Parts: sequence; C-alpha cells; structure tokens
Amino acid sequence: MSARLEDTRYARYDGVRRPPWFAVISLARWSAFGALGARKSWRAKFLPITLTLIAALPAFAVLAIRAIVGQRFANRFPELIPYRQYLTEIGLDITIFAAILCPELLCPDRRDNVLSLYLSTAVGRFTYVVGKFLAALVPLLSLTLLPVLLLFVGNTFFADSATGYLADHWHDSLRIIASGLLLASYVSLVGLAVASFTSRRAFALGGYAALMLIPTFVGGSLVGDAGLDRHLQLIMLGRLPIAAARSLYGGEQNPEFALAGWWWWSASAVVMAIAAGCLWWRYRRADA
Amino acid sequence: MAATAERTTIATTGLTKRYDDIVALDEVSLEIADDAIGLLGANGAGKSTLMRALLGLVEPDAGTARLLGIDAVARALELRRRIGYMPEHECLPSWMTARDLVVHLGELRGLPRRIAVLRTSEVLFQVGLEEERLRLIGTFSTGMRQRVKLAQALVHSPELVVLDEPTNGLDPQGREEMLELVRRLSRDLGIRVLFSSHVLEDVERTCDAVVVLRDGRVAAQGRISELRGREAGSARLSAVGDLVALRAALSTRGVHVEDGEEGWLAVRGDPALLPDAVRDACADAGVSLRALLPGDRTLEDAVIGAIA
Repeated sequence: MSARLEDTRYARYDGVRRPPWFAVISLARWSAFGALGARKSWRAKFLPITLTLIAALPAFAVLAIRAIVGQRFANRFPELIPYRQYLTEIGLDITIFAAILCPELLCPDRRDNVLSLYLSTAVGRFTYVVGKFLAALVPLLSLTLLPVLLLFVGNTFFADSATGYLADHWHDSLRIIASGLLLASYVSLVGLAVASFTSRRAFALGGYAALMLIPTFVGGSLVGDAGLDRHLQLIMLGRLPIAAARSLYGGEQNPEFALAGWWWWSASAVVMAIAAGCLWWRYRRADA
Repeated sequence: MAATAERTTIATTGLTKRYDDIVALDEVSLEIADDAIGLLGANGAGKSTLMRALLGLVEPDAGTARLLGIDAVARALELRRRIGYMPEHECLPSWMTARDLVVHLGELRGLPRRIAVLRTSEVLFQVGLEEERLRLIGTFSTGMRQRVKLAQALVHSPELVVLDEPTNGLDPQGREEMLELVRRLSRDLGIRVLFSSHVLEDVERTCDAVVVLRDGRVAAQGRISELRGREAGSARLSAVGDLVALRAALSTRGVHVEDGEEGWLAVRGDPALLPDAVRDACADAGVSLRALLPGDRTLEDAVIGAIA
C-alpha cells in the first residue's frame, strides 16, 4: 500500500506542441460531438441516433433476410436493394440529418460569440471553416457511406463465393465510396452555407429544408408533369448529388428523363462551389 | 539584440487604426519590458483596439506591433499560440462544461490531448473552479464565467496573458479575488500580464507599468513607481502659528505654496533644498512645525495630470 502526493500547483509546460493542423481535428471532433448531443440530454441525442439507425435499417434488413432465408432464395433476390438505389431510399433521411446537424455546428458559435474566442486562439478563419466542414462530413458519412459499405460487406459474406463476389463487384466498392463522399460533401457544404447566414438554428433548419426540397418538387413537376425540358431537373438541389451518384452505376430507370452523368456531376460541383463561396464570404471578415 | 526583443513585452511604432471616420488608435508608439502592464483609459479610449492589434486580430492601417518580439501582423497565428487572451465580452459556449472547454482550447493551441486534460485540472484549480469543472457553463454566474475565461487563457502555459477588463461585471468579492489572481500571475507564476481596465485602482494593484490612452493616443506611459515619483520635491506640511508669515517666508526661499486638505500646506521646490528651506522659513516666521511629509502623488494624480 503506497500513496503518492501530487503537486497541483500551476507549472510551466515546455513539452511537445502539436502542429497547427491538429487544431482542425480538435475543432472538428469537439464540434461534431456537441452537435450530436454529447453532454446534453437524451432528447438532443435522440434524433441523430434515430436518423443514423434509419439510414442503416435497409442494410440490416436485407442482410437479416439473407441470413434467415439462407441460400434458398438467394438466386431470386440477388440484390434486394441495389447499391445504386440505396442512397435514393435514404435521401430524405440524409437531408433531415444534415438539416439538424449543420445549424448546430455554426449557429451556437455565432449566438454565443464563441467564434471570437476561437479566432483569438491559433484558429484562423479558414481553419475554423475547414474544422466545421469536417465536423459535418464525418457524421454524414455514417449515413451516406457506412450503411452501403455494410451492405457490400454483408453481400460478400453471404455470397456463394466471397472471393468470386469481390472479383465481380470490386468496382462497386469504389462507386460506393465515391457516392458517399459526394453526397456527404454536398449536403455538408450546402447545410453549412445556409447556417452561416444566421445565428438562429430554426431559421437555418427551415432555410436548408426549403432550399433542398422546394426546387426538387418544382423541378420534378416541371419535367415530370408539365413535360418541360428535362434539363430543368438540374434545379432539383435535393436530387443532384443522388442522381450524380446513381450515374456512376449506369442504367437509369427512366430514360425519357435521363441526363448524362456529367450533367449531374457538373451541377453538383457548381452548387458545392457556390456553397463554399458563401462560406468564404461569410467568414472572410468575421469579427474576432 | 534578439534577447532584447524577446524581453520586450510590447513594442509598437506609429500604430494607427481607423474605423471609417473614427481614429481608434493614433500613431501609438510604445516599448515596455515590464512583466505586468496596465492599459488604462476611459471607455472608447482605444484599449481594446490596441489589444486586438497586438494580438493580430485587427490589421493596423499603419505602423507596426510586436508582442514578445513577434510581429503581430505577419506571425499572428504563431503569436496567439504563445499567449493567452481573456476577452472582455461574453464568448463562452453555454452547452459545454468548463473542463471540456478548457481542454478543447488547450488542444487548439497545440497541447496534446493528455497534457491538455492534465493542465486543465491545474488551471481550474488555480482559478478556483475545480469543484465546478463538470457543470455546464450555461449555469455559471458572471464571476465563474470570468474565471473560465481566465483558465482557458492560461491552460497552454502562455508566456503572456492578455486580460481585457477581467473585473467587468464582478461583485466586490469576485473583483477582489480576480485582482488577486491577476497579481499572482506575474508575481508567482511567472506569466507576463497585459491588463486592460478603466478602473485606476485595479491597474495600480496588479501592474508594474501603465500605459494611459486617451482618444487613441498615448497620454502617459511608464513604471507606476516612476509616474508617482515624478513629483519629487513636493511635500505636505502642518504648522501652528502665523501661516501668512510662513507662506511669505517660504516664498522668499523660492518654495511654491498651495493650500492642502484639512489645514495642510502643499509645498514644492528644489528637492535638495526643500527640507532646509521649510525649517528655516518656520524659524523666520516663528511658527511651530508639526509635520513635514513627502508629497507623493497618487497614480490618479499622475494620470489626471497626463490627460488633463
């Protein structure tokens, strides 16, 4: 049995210091935890957890069915939910998640003047924006990337020959990663850009939802119902990245409305560039 | 040369900052090497702008600013990793605990996570918040928030800490405790302090040197002891007898006399000759000298004299 006395006086620290990029990681981690409800009541955690589970539900359901029915119906249901369809199925779930997450990352900092505290440390405006972008991107990847990857791994595991499945579908893993990254980056940038204009979370949430949903419904009606030029689909901000992701797999289901993949990718890139520009503009002279 | 620059706490030359038509800083030139420096001035005198310029948070329109020998414009981020800043305004996230915030800000200034956690415990203990470290900041009183702001400014072991009106909004006891903490920083913990306040007494109690700003210009600067002592050659005297004759006798010996408080006379003259001149004048006038005391002026006198 031994005891040790600790000296709790203030002491100087002359040890190792992390390089400046470490601040980006720290900012992203703490911001993401806060936005997802860490140290808050269960009500703050409920929606993010629920939406994440909903995103993974199709993958779990498919794999559970395959596990239960075994190989008997394997040939009849080779892909209960194709990879190309997965993000379409959970698109609304992702939009809601981003609508909740992004305002939570930026609005409280403006409301509580925390931005000025950050800027008085070694964090510059660019570092701050990049940190917040990562804080949105990583949680969103748990919806746009992980469930589809889980499905891919599960399908590989349940296939007659795992190596054979991998040999036939390895390119799908690249498409899954590219799709997940595109969609998460897109909704992160757009969500943060909208949130950067207000310190009120409700306004940011409503603005983001309106921006993503209203043009999508309008574009769908103009092309689908009124029969106008199919390029008007490019105003469907909520659909752009999902359509771009689907184009990676080819075989669009409705050829009469189909646009070449590069249209979707180009439009998505333009929207992301505009969103990044808005963020730069909003924080270029943010008062410290 | 480099060692001298490193030793200099603040060095500015012709520092100027305008906001549209308002000149917040007007060719401010300073060079101070003291460990605890007070920045004094009325609201709107330019204290906060000077601090922010020294931290590289605002870009000056003209002139240079160096803190600890580091250029505040060209190397602002490096500078802010080496110093701590306690802002005047409310800036704490209400949803974080004191511990989490201080750890987080320690990491942002380059501390490894494990070290940040250890040092957070130390600084929260130093500022008297160790018992409250796991409480949400949103539930804190003004005094506790000020302590959190001080703790985050100290966690990364800064060479200098910049405190912008740290006693604002504190009750008398909280103010006393904050001033004691500030004094300890330079006296016991070896951290240089730049302390801004519009309360003279706060600066006098916590600092070794002072810069007085008025309308964006330097009205006075120097060590507090020197500012007080610039009136060497002044004294207060109390005497019984014919004071009119005493005044005349003092005047003939080149001593300037004014009425002081409560029957005292304030006298000023050549420091080397003043005591003898008073003694001889009392003898000539036939009055009894009851007391002759040094005429130390207070910092308040010096500041008022500088800005008047």
